[in-house]
Amino acid sequence: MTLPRDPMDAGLAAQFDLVRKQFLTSLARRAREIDEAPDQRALQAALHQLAGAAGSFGHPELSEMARRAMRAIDTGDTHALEVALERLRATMRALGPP
Amino acid sequence: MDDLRRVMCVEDDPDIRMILDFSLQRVGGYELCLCASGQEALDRVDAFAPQLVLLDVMMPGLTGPQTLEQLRQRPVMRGVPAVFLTAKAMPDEVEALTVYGATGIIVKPFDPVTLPKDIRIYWEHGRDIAA
Repeated sequence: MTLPRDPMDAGLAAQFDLVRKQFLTSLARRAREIDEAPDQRALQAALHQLAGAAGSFGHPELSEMARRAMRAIDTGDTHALEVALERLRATMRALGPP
Repeated sequence: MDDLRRVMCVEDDPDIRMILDFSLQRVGGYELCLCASGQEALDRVDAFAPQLVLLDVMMPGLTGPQTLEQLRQRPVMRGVPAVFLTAKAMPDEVEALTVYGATGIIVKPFDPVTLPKDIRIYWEHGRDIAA
């Protein structure tokens, strides 16, 4: 079931913007967790966290990219994993703080 | 008749805790007990006496299902609906999670604007079951 989206009043919208900005500052840490994952289990965990979080902060494209990388791990497709991770890194760099 | 006010959330990801705080406290107006681990939830549940519990599934230490199993042993949790938060929602996983006594599943990422209404539906459904 999909509930109608409630309009946020100006005060809440401003608070949501702050929350979104805080999330974007966490992207550098998340990118490190992905890049420095010692094994596929840790990589899956880092991708899983990102997939579950990003969409709630207005970045469903990041969630989808993370899911794509997780699927590549599941299927053992190393080329698809490399492509997915590269796109993910580029998007995180573009969104994250300079 | 009482209303839903006190919600306990158990989530290890600090960003998700932040968006839960925004969604459920600021948008929904609920009183929140945000816990970073299953152990923290066990430490705080008696004092907080939640009317609904939201639990992440994959957490280091106690997982969501393990946490719920231990929470269910507390008298204060009698009849309290529990909802799992998960980034995976394959049918077999959903079925497995409901075995743990969850009223429902909310798939991450969730919409922070509609989440307060979504959890109220689960709370009302859970109360009907407990009645």
